Amino acid sequence: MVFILNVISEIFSIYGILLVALSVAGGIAIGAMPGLSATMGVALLIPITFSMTPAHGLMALGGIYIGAIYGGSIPAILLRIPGTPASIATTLDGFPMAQNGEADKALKISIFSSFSGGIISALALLLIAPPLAKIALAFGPAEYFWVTLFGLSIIVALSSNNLIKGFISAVIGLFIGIIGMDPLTGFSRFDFGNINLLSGISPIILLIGLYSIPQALEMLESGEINKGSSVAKLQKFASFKEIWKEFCQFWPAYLRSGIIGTIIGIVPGAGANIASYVGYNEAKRWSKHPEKFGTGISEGITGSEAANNGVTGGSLIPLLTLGIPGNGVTAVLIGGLLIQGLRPGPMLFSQNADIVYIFMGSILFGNFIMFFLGYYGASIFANVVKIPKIIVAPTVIVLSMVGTYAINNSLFEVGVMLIVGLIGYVMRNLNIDSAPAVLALILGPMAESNVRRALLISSGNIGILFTGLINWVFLIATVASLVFGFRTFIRERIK
Amino acid sequence: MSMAVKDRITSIVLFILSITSYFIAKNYPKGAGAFPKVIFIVAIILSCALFISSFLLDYKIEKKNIKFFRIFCIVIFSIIYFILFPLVGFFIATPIYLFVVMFILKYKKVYVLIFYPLCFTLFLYLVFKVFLRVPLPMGILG
Repeated sequence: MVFILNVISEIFSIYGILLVALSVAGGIAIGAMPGLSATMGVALLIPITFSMTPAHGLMALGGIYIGAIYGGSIPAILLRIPGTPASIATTLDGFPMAQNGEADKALKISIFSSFSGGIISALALLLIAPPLAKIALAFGPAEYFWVTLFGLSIIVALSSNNLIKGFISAVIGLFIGIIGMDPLTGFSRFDFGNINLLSGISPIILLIGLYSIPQALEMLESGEINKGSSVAKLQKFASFKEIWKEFCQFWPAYLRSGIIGTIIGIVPGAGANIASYVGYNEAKRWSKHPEKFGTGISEGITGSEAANNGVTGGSLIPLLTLGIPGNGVTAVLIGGLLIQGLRPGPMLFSQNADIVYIFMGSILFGNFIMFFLGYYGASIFANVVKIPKIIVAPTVIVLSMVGTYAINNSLFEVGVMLIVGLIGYVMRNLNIDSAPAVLALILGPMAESNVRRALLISSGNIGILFTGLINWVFLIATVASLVFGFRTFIRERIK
Repeated sequence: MSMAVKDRITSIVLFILSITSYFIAKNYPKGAGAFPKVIFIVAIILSCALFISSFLLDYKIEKKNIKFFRIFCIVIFSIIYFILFPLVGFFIATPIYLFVVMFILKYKKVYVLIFYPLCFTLFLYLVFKVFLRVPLPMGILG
């Protein structure tokens, strides 16, 4: 009881409320800005949360995460430009609604959907994570090895339209992961004679580079950069009663999409963009008027928006219970936890229970703040699209440099961040998705140290990797996801 | 350059890099070298697969009209900025960098061009210097 009161008083302190409100608002603005993603927002904010307590830092990062995923729907509805990839499916019905003069209704439906998806997934997080962490405590190094391998295989199978390139990206991440001292023997690998590389490259620096520099450069690649987009004034206002009536009528759609999003979030590798598509398609399949989808129907917005915000809480489940990142944002969050001196994984629940519960509670609370801000302020946030890209791009570069510097006060790391950013940009232009590299960077060292630890325990007997039910479950899942990936690749891409 | 050609070049570069790295990792002690060696073998196989697949795959023709001048400008100025900020100080280099990039890429509104770099730098000063107390290089100001 004292524990719960402690958690509640931390979240609902004036500082806590302000922090969550500010970060959700910041997240919505970042999400509403085409070209800036939730991942980038979290990556750029990490250096700032560095000086806060771990609990406050996580509250801020969680707020940015949920805000940004919702924020992407605002320009998707008003301009047909998804603010983040997670809102691509929202444009399908959101923009037609705006054209029919129902922009305000579409925005309100979107916040209702995002809110319900967010709440469903936050509750799932609170209910599923603690018992799952207890199960995960029983995992030994062999089990962890298979879990990490499964995570890697699924991200490769899902994230890339070219499986070979997905693997290449993963290999690049694995390579960067081995730079520095070997975790078990201390032998230095690929340090190129540079003393700064001895302790390896901190993941967060690479993540800042990979998620901000390529995006900033891409903004300038083509199109108008000196003028922002203009937003039309809202004409017809939708009353709360009207939206509520709609919600009461279509509540199963909200519930369904929220659950779909949560489940997709839990699966490592599948992120909010996939969820929004699946959510949209399911909404269409279950709807009484599937033929109206695409012409501006509110169920379409619900399908995609409840699902993408459903991912937020779901994706935190493997992060907190196993220490496995499921998507870009959670990979960055792992980087953030590590600099705070916290090791993500089941031990977190026993060693830092207060921090974990404050984090989970603040995600739930953050959704209410998001609802308030989105319901009354969506049209204000829409104004960020007026900012020309020529201002945003160099600003992002400055922020990523000063942020990287702030972590260890090291100019060397700023240089590494820039180089990695440029590599990321080249990869993008070669159609090599950087997401597998990012996850491999975090999962690679985990896989290596776990498999070697397992072999140390068994004194070199490889059989330890193949005993026990959990090992086999993950082994089969890994093979299955690879087979699935190869089949789709061959079917879709070979001439 | 078509994507198929780009893929072939990528595969050759990757092949050379992974072969070289494999031989570096070969000299590492047994435990420390095993994992890197596996990675490089996989990389070698992947580079071959990419090379072969570039002849088999169905590449959708996509036209991407990249304005190279813009990318070139921002990359070069960012590198100059990175070299300069430890020397002249962060809070001098930053507004100059922002101004120069926006000016070269032909941003027109004069008041934004002048005030935005200054205001944003002030914001960074407040966040990083006053609030977070990060010892940013002050250069001539310090």
